[in-house]
Amino acid sequence: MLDGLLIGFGVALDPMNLLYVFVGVVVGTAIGVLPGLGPTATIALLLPLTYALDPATAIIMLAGIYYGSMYGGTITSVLLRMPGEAASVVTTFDGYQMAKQGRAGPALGIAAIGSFIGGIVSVIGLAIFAPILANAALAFGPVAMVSLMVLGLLLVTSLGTGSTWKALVMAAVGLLLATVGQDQISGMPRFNFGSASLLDGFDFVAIAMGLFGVGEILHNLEQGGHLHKVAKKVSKILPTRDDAKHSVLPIARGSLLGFFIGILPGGGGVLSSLASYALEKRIAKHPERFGKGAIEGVAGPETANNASSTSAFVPLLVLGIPSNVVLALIFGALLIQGITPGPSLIPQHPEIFWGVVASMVIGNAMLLILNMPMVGVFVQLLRVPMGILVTFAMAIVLIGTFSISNDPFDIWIVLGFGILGWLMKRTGFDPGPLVLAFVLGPILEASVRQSLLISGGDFGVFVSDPIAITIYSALALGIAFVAVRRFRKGRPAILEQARHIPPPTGLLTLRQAKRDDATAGASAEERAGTAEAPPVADEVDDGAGAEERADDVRSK
Amino acid sequence: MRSMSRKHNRSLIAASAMMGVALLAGCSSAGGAGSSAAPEGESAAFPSGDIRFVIPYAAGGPTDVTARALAPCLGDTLGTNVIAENVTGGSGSVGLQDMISKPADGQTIAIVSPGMVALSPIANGLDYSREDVASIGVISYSPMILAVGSGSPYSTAEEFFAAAQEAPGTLTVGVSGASTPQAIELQRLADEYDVSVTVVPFDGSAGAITALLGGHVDSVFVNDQEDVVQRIESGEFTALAVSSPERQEHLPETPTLVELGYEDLTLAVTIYALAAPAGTPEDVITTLSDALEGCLTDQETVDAIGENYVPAEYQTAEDFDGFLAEAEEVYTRILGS
Repeated sequence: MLDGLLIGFGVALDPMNLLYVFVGVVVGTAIGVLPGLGPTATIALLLPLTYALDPATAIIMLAGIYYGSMYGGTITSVLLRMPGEAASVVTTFDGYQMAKQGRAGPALGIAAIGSFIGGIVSVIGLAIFAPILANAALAFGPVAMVSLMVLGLLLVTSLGTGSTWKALVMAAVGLLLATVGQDQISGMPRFNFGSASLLDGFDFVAIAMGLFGVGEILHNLEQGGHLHKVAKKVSKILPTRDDAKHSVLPIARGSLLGFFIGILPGGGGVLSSLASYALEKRIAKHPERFGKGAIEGVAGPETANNASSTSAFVPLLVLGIPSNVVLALIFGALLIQGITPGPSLIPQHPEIFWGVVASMVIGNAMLLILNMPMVGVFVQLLRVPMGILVTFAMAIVLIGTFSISNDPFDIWIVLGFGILGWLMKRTGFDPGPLVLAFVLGPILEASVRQSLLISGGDFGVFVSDPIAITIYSALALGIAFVAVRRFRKGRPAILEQARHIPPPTGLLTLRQAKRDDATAGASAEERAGTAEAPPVADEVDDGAGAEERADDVRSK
Repeated sequence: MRSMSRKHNRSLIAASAMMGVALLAGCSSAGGAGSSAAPEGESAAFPSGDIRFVIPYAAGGPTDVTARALAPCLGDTLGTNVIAENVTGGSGSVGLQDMISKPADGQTIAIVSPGMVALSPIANGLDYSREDVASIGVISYSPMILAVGSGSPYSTAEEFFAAAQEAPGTLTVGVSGASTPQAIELQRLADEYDVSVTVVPFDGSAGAITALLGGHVDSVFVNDQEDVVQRIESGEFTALAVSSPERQEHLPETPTLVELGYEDLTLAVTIYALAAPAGTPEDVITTLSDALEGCLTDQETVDAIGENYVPAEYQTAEDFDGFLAEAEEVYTRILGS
């Protein structure tokens, strides 16, 4: 492990990689602050740029954007009660209350410190656990890969946000899209309608940029308006001694909780911050303080959030299962580089795994330094008019798409999927499962058919492998457990809460979700109020409805 | 350290290539007008400006590595910039069609393989053929190695093939992809010699090699490349046979399929060649061929491509065309179109 970390720091301290981790965390923080452009859209937009980079450098930058955006999201959650991405929603519960009491500084400070500690704990865990798992790499043949992919697909669709059925439909569409192009086993062209451009199937980057990038842009344009003028002065970032005393244990618990939840395939992000919040509230001596500016309610979840977004790299880099959409995009970035994430990644490309791990230590330190004094600067970003932001983003999309393979065909693909993405947004379908299934589909198909070739067509092969049997048994147990629980006392609280959190695409979706909720359940009065609410700016001040909902979420 | 700096170079090259392409796009209309003024059949001064070097596969793959190893030397020799550009898709056919569609003046060239030129149009029903491509010369040559793991019950090709004949279809062979020359060669082994193995295609040879290491397939039939040779030397793999007509110099103990009695199984090789659009003037082809021949004696270029894989004697366009003709005949017969 020490050897590995040494290799890792060798890679991460390369000047080029230092530059890119810096670029990553700064861009990440910036887009975390900006609503509308979440980490998903940003990484999708930047995918083509990673093409010319060394694989380790590319992943170092993308990972920086990912955990950087977690920090950025905290800033707006605390100051404006506007989570830049979903995982920060929990921070709004107490963080915004602290800001209202004039304690925005300590809230942000403890969030930054907690995130830093959570990140570091997770990196250490990553360095210990991943190679242990990876030692088993060679045992993962096609049969075990089938079970892994089944696990991955089920988890991403069931733990996703929104309706399970819609997620399953999207996953099915993703699997179907993945069948376009040359059959991997027989080499026959499928569904390409004679087009050489489609012979290799749809380009992952074009689909991701279309659904997340263009779709998001169109959606933002439709919403119109521009962002906030709000930029409160934040002073006294350092927490008081009392704050520190209250936060030590939540940070410690959050680190461990976040790490283990992040390691579960499908478990990163919002689930960990919710779990930490629930835990802190349950064991607190005065649970009634929560929701009224308790610093534990910021420290714990923020720590857990960052710890889990780091440990979520374990299933990605060790098993090839992306836990969420952002990691699916990073998966795609590795594929573009000709590297398939999976059990053989660490043995074959130690520099990528350890380089990324070491860069996270450096990136987290940079974020801590950046965040403390620079909060005010990042908040100023909210002044950028939407029109400018959107124009730039669109230009990047089109140039980026063309540069993938210098084939104009991809531009039509990206625009087509952009419109599809926008329609999906309007109809409440989350593009996440689609992209995840699109990424996992070819591996699933190839593994199934390789298994059958090896067994001579005997389906018994799928339960002939100890790894596969273990995974299927765990899956069956899990499903049974959930089914029984649901049958006896409704949905588990954490999952139920996660379901209320909108997908990580920024504030505008949050409003959408809120509107959906309102139309679904709340009083007619509230419905009318929300539906007519003009763009974003007012939303922040129109406290009651949203707060009510936040309470609602917590109490479930 | 060395590989890091090379990677940096690659990204710098990629960046400068992008800028170069942008410039080229700006100049191309002017350049096109100039060349059309020249009398038909008589080539204007060659090269006239930058040469665009199409790489039909993605950056970082074996095709890309070979092409980028060659590009700087070609540029120096011809006294111009050779700008490498990855145009990917369709198992190489998108890039190849891009090259074919450009004026036949030698200003656009491509790195090609028999898979792209002879196999892909037949296997995938695409509307071009090897007649649309003018070969310049062979860059590198790498046959397949049939290898088994160290725990395999078979230590010679004879034993392996005898077992395959006895129980058809029970032995599995991992290959790097479905419609590759090597997969089709194993099909011919069954059709013509009644030795039937089950071909299991993986995504690239790395997947096949990992599967062999993990004991999920019985053997692999993959390119003679450095990582495989290392595993053979370390004893992890046993090489049973190679698919070249002659034994490989660095694997003197390994018999060829020809020696083993499979006389015409010599098509499972990866040959990278330089090519231009059909109709490129003879003197331009000659200039390019001479430049290529010179570069293949340049130590730095040869090291970058891999010393074992640059033919000792320069293989001309005729040699490559001869191979293509044979391959095309076989593929047309097998894939029946």
